[in-house]
Order: sequence, then structure tokens, then C-alpha cells
Amino acid sequence: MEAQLIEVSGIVQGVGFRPFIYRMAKENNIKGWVINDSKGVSIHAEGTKENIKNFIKNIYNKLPQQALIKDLKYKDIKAKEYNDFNILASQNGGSQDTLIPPDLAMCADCLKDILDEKNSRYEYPFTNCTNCGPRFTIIKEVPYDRIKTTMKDFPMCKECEQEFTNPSQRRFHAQPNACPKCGPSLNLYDRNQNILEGGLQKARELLAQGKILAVKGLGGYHLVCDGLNNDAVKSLRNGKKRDFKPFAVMAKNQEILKKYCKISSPEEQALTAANAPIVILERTSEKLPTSLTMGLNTLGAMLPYTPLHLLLFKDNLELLVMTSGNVSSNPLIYKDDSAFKSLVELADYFLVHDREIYNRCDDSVVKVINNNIQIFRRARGYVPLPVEIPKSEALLACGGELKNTFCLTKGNKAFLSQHLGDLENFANFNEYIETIEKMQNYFNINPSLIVIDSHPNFVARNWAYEQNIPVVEVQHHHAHLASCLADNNLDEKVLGVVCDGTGYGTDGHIWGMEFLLGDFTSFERLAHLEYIPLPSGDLASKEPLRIVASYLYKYLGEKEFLENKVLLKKYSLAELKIIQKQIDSKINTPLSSSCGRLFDAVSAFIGVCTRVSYEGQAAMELEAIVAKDYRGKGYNFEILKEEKLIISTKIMWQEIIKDLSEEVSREIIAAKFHKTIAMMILEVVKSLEDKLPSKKVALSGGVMQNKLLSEILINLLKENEYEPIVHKNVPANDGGISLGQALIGGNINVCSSTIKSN
Amino acid sequence: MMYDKILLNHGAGGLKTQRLIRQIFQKHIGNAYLQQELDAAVIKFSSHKMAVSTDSFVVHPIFFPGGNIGKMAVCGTVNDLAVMGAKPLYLTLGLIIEEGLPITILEQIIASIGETAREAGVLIVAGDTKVVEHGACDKIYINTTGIGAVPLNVDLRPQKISPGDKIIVSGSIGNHGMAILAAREGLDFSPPLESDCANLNYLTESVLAASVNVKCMRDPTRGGVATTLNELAYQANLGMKLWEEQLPIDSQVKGTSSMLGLDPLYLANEGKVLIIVSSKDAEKVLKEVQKSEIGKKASIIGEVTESHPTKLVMETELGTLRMLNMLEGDPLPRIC
Ligand SMILES: [Fe+3]
Ligand SMILES: [Mg+2]
Ligand SMILES: [Zn+2]
Ligand SMILES: [Zn+2]
Repeated sequence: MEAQLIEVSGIVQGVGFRPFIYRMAKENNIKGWVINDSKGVSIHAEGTKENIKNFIKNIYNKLPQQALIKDLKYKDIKAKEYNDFNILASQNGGSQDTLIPPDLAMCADCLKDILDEKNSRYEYPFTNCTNCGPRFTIIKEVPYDRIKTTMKDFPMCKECEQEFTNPSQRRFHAQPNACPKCGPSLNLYDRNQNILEGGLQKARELLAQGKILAVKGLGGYHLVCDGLNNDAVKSLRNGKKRDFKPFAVMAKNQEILKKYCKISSPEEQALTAANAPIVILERTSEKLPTSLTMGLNTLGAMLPYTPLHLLLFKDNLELLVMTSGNVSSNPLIYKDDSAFKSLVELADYFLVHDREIYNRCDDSVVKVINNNIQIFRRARGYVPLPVEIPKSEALLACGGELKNTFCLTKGNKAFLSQHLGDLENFANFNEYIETIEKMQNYFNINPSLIVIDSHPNFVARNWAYEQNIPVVEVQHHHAHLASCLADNNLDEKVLGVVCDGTGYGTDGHIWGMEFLLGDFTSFERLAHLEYIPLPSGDLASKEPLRIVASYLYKYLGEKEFLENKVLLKKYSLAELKIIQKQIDSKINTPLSSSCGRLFDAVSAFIGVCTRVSYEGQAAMELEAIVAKDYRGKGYNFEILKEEKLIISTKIMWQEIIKDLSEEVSREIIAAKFHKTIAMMILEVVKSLEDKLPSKKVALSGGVMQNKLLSEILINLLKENEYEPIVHKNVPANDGGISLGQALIGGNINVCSSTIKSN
Repeated sequence: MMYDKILLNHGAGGLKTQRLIRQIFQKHIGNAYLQQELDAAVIKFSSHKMAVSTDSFVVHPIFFPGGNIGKMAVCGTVNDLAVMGAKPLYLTLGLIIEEGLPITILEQIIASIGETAREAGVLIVAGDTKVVEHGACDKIYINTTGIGAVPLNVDLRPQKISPGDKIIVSGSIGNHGMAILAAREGLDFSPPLESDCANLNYLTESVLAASVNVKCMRDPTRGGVATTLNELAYQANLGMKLWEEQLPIDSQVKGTSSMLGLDPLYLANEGKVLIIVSSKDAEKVLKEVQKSEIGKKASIIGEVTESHPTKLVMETELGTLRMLNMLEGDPLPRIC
């Protein structure tokens, strides 16, 4: 008889790991026990040498889908001659190194249960098991045990208790286990909070009638209506004060989604994965209401990920708008009282369950680019799984101001928060501060350093300096580059091409198309897009013809600028002169090398989008109209060899004007423009050849989420024997910069001279 | 004889200085104290608390629609006294003049100072003139120090602010900042944007007479309403919330600032007062302010909150709460 103590860490709690171990032990005739502790799972295994070997082999080979082993250590110990294998109660205390599992989409077995009329969980919206169900959104404290979740309010009935304690059952130690007898329940309310008869059945009828429902889900409320009903979608759009931004939908199933969209195999994988994100798909059908798609050729879609969502589709509904339950830029609502308060003018009815959501978590958003899944918004299903990093001290990286996530590090793990949104919005800012506290408690992290963006007006700047912890400021695009490196497990100096909208540069100007040679400690700016004045600052992002004005004034001179027909359609001569004055006198007119603003400008100039109502609109609409079959060349441009390489788009603007005058279609112009940007990047990279330590080129920044551009660029780089490095687990947009900040902060701290105190 | 331009000698303390004082200064701002031509004005003081404030004025251009640097120099200090609950009584006047300034310009400024001081009911009791070489200053810089009398029972301090108090602004915001910008940069608007530069002391006096529950007043000059309220929130260790739809902003200021991407909340005012008053007296005080010609557009723009201490937020017309932070320098783009 041999005995070994096996310690497993990783995602081994809340994913059916112990029952799995129990089964493996039985199969291999292993005696002893398994226990959840704060470091993961420990197993005392006794048996023959052969049995133990097979047991460990099985742990690796038959691992449940959602589990992830980060580390498995074993050592010989003294046999205790157990005559059975047991699952022991969890231990408290110790260091909290266990990973908190993310929420998991309903599994196939639970789906069977709720569709089976004879099953006690038939049509029960809160059915779950060790392989699926709520996790992060209900966890108040670690270790992850029912009493430390919001399921504490629902004592299990006898049957559930039996499932919970029987290791051979699928719901053994499924912490949120519940049934209609003992678990959470659902009520349908009208606007005045009166309970209506009929529950789910009635809710479905109301949806079919074109009503708007606020539905409490896993990580927050959704506003839901029939996605095929133009009037319903329109009235939801009015209520949300969301003029143009497309809505995400949930489809009954993949077959139905295929009626409207193309689904490639990596996209199918993404749609059906346990994290069940919104996948941005290419739309193929014109049959969807225009109020839904808003001129884009894409559709953000997901599949039902909880029984509740699935049951909404039970009758004839095929496609539901599932947009986050909030108004304007306010945070996703996840508390019942604020839902009734804030959504009362938007929703006709409320479908609400009585299980508290403890952590708000938006739907995640992904897109497949070049056959790889790229995360645009990292939240439900991903958070709070860590990203592996080189060992770091405990620190807090505050992230960016828009699309915020923050990042806490400990050891070799970086925990990114869920997407928290725009911090200038005070409600978001409050949640930001609260979430930082929550996450610090979950992971027992006391940061010894805070990293912030170097923008002088970064919203959390004052907060950071008030924490009595050293603060280090990191340049925005350096953080993007570092984020891309960390995302790819690289710790070396590479060239980063960072294309985005806005980041504060070390020269006080606004950067945005940057070629940075750098690593986690430093960077050198080797090339960038030529600066242009940005009249009225952020207003130019909303009114991109201002950027056009600036480009034309700079590159074509006063006369052509003041006589330009496109500009004169929007502005009077007097207004143009004011813009000119603004540029000349530098009145609220920062200099910018932004790539995002160049996209905005071209989009506006050729009449695609002149009024931006949501971030990225002009660029997304430009991408949407591109002539797919265009195989010709892009526009010409110049690379000026100054101290740095400067990309001038003067010739491109002249050529676009010529194209417009020759009535070249905007679809072709858009195609040529995308090609131009990719060529520009390639040419600059080639010109930098002798300064580059390797063939690796890291691509980051929100502009890289442009599928068309990215795919052209990646292929161009590969054709030229470069090795493009792209994002995987964190967004290329500002949602990813907290990770980069963390890595830079962890390395910069070594030379404390760079730490500023206010 | 008069010279038509200021020379270095005009500040040297000799004959030329004397002539300047007698022919221009005494003419426009003269009074019994100044006529004594002593080293210091010796003034009688009553059984009040004394308020003292000083400010230096360096504005470009020195003449702008609605005022000039002289008027600003009086209003600025008068208003600093007034918002403390003081009755402004005396001012000192320190001038630093660039060599070459046309004397007619100087005279216009001094005349404006005299007129504004008379309007406010203050006497200029001491002064000083220096002339610096061409290029060493920009035309003219003015310093004024003011002395005012505060009734013993008046005690206005941010520390007296409490949750629930209302925030009143005495009129439209951002006019001065936008007028100066337009004048400086030659942005032509018709009608031209006018500065709101004005004395506030009669208005504040009537406010204090109308309510004993006024906690604190401030004139939102540099940095505008947002910066001033941030300072108050910090000093009071309380939160403040504004309602965007209640903000009085003249349509021309609104249009111009939105065209330039500027926020009127951060633009300077020279004739506006922010009044923090207990909720129960807010309407009464508002009505009192509105009686005054310069207070017609007064509005209750927000309230003091227990939540989010030290922070200023604004409920926008979209129903979101926007943070209004103190800015470090100019606004810079943040949209990514
Ligand atoms: Fe960025
Ligand atoms: Mg002062
Ligand atoms: Zn399940
Ligand atoms: Zn039960």
C-alpha cells in the first residue's frame, strides 16, 4: 500500500472537481479523501503504485470541461490504511490562493432536465449543477461555499441536500444547487411593482406582443424585446436614448441564428463555449429590422446561457434583443430597487428573480479575427480568471478612463476586473472603487504600488494619490504594448504598433498611431502618424468633420479648405473661419497623432458618418461599407524621415479628393483606405528594420479590433516574414491596458526613482 | 505738459509721477484720503470684523466687451470682500505699467476704476505706480487690496455647509471667460459676447439681509463654477450635486463654448456669486437675488450631499451622473 498527498491548484473549485476526483478514486480503487482548501484541492490517495499512477493520469486526461489545472504536486506520505474514499468539508483560513470560478453557461445535462416534463426541475429557471450555473456573480467571500454566496438565503430541501452530499450525483457540492421547492423563484411585475399572474408564460406572451421587459439575469438586468419586431426595437431604442448603437441579440439556437448570420467554426466554438459571450458575427440577411442593425453588416449575438433565458424562447420567439439594462452610459443595473427606479420608463414589465446578484457582470463580447477569438469586452464567463504573468509583487493597475477594467496582481497571476465602463460617469466610478475593494478581498491582495495612466485629468488620479501607496504613471500606449506582450506570455523587447483613439503622450500631445519599441520597463517612440490639430478636442470625435477640416487646412491650404464642398455642406463659411481661427490660435486644439481620428475623418469626409453617437461608430460604419471584392491598390502616403519617422497622409487626402471628384464609390474609397493603413504600417515597420531586435510585431489598440484592417495587416506582415503578435485573452482596446500597466508598474518599481509622489 | 505715452520717468517718483497722480488719478479716483498724499492712509474703523483681500489683475486684452482691466480690478476685490459678508469700504491700487502705454489708455482705465469704485461705494485710499521697461510686462498690471467691514454676527465659512443645503448661482455662467477668449482671439460674434464683470456687494448684502441661513458664498472666477464648487466640497468635506438642466447659460455662451468644445462650468465669471443656503431659505434667497438687475437669471443649480464627500457631480440631461473634477490645466481629449 502506497500513499501520496496530491495538491492541485487552478480552477478546481465550483467546477465539479471533487466529485470528479471521487469518481476517479472509485474507478482506480483509491482510498483516502479530497478536500477544498484555500490553495485549491488536496487529495490523500492510497492504493497500489499502479493505481495511484493511473489515478493521477486520469485526473489529467478526464478533467471536467470547466476545470483547469495550473499546478499538480504530489509527494509520498505515510499510508493511513483508509477503507473508503471521502469528500471532506472545506477548510477555512490560510492564504486565499484558490481561483474564483467565472459564471458558466447552462450545461447539456441541465438542459435535458429542464426540458423533461417528468423531471422535478422541468422548466425551472435556476437549474444548475457542478458543471454550470452562477459563480462569480453570487460569491460574496472566499472560499467558495454556499453560505458565502447569495444562495445562503435558500436552504436546500431534502432532495437537493441529498444531491449535494452524494458524491455520485452531478450536483454533488454544486453550491448554487436549487430546485423549484427550495430555490430562487421568479415573478413578473408591472411598472408599479404589482405581481402579475402567469410568470414566465405571461412574460413570453408579452414579448410576443412587442412589449419591453426588464429581465434580471446572471450578472445584471437586460432590456428585452422581440428582435424581429421593428416597433418594439424602435421604442426600446428611444427609451435607451441610444440613437445608433446596434443592440445585441440572443437567438433561440444556432440554427435560427444561421438564418441571419454567417457562423464560422471558431465562431461556433465561441458561441457555445461555457463563457457564452456575445459574438460579433457577419450578418447575411437583410430581414432583420433596421432599428436593430443600424447600418452595420454585423450582429452581436449570443445563445441562451441560463435556463431562464432559454425558457423565454419556449414559444415562437426566435430572436430577442438583449441589451444591458441601463440608461445611456450608466452602469448595468443589477440591484432590484434601482432597476425599478431607473428602468421604469423603459420597460413595460419586469421579470425578476429573488437571488441577489452580488457582482455586476456585463455580457462579454468577442469577435473572431483571422480565425482567432479576440475579446472586445471581458466580463461574464471570463472574470475573475487570472492571466498568467511573470512573478510580480502585489499591485493595483487602475486601467484607462473609458471601457475601464483594473488589474490586481499577486505572484504570477494578474486578475483583471470585469468591464466597468466609462469612469467619468459617477455611478461607474463608485462601482469601480467598490469593485477594487471586493477584488482585493477575494484575492487577499494588498497592493504596494498603484499604477495609473499618465493623462493629467485621469479620473481616478486623485483617488490613487490619496491611497498612501506609491503611485507610478504609465504612458497609455506603452501600456497597450505591454498588455499585448503579457497577453502572449512574452517578456522581451519588441516593436509594438499601437493604433487607437486617444492617449496622453510624454510630449503632452495626444498620441494614437504609435510605433513603440519597448518591453515592460521602457519604450522608445520610433514613428507616428503626423500630428494634426484637433479643433475642440473631444468634440472632434463626435463631429468628425472638424478633423477633416483640420486635415484639409493642413494639407491643402486655406483656400481649398475654405472652399471645400463637403465642409461647406455642414458649416457656414463663418463657422469654418472660426475653426481656422481655433487651429491658428490653438484654442482648445491639442495636437494629435490619433489613428482612430483618421478613420473618423475619412468616414465623415466620404459621407458615411458625420455625427458620432457612440465610440467607434464612424470607423465601424466605414468598415461595414467596404467593397469586399476590391483587389486594387491603396492610396499613396509619405514617410518623412525626421528624428522619428512621421507618416504623412497628405497624398492620400489629395487622392481621396480626386476619387470623390471622379465619383469613385465610397465602398471603393473605404476599401482603399483600409488597405492604405495596413500598407502604411508595413512600410514603417520595414523602414525601422535595423532597429528591431526581432521579427515580432505586437499589434494593439482599439483600431486593431477592425477585423478588415487586422486581417489585411496580419497577412501583409506574414508575407513579409514578420511575426504579428495579437491579443488573445484581454482586449486590444482600453479594456486591456490595466494588464500592461501592471506589468510595467511591477518592473518600474525596481528603480524607485520614477515613482512620483504628489 | 502731458506726454501721450507712459515713460519710465512716470514711475520714478519725481515730477512726472506727481503730475500723473494729480492730473489723472486725483481727477478720477480722488478723495480726502488720497488728497492728503501721505505715506499711508489712516482710517477709522468701527466695531466690525475687518475683511482684507488682495488680488492682482493681468488680463489680455485689457479692454474687452463689458469691461476692462480697471473695472475688473475693482470688481474682483470688491467681490472677494462681498462674498465674505463684508461691506467693502476701502481699496488700495497698485499699478505696474509698461513703458509706452498711451496715456489716454491709462486714463480710460483709471476713469473706469473711479466709476466702478463709486458704484461699489468704496474709496481708494492708497496707491502706487511703477513703470517697467517695454516688454517687462504686458501693458498694465493692477493690484488691488480691499478692506471691508463684516458685521459681528456674520460668519460665512465652508465648514458651515451641511447636507441638504442648496446651491444658487446669481446668473448665467461662463460669460466672462468666453468674452475674454473671443476678444483675445478675435473671434467675431454678433452681438459680441460681453463679460459679466460687475460689483456684487449690494446683491450679497441683500442676500444676507434676507436670510440668516446663508452658509457660504464664493465668486466663481478662475476655473469657473466647477472649480469653485470642487474647492468648497473639499473644504466642507461634503458632496455636491448639480442639475444640468438648472444651469443658467446664455444661448450665445452655450453655442460658442460648444462650438469650441469648452465647458461653461469651467469658464471664469467676474460678476457672479455662488450662494450655499439652507434648503428652507433657498427659494427666498433666490427671489431676493432675482430682484437685482444682475441676478435676474439666478437659479438653484444644485445641492449639498452627504454622499460622495469632496466630489462634485452633475446630473446630466440624459439622467447620468457626470463627475466634474478639478482640471489640471486645459481640458484634453479622453475619447479613445
Ligand atoms: Fe487606447
Ligand atoms: Mg482674490
Ligand atoms: Zn449543469
Ligand atoms: Zn430543492
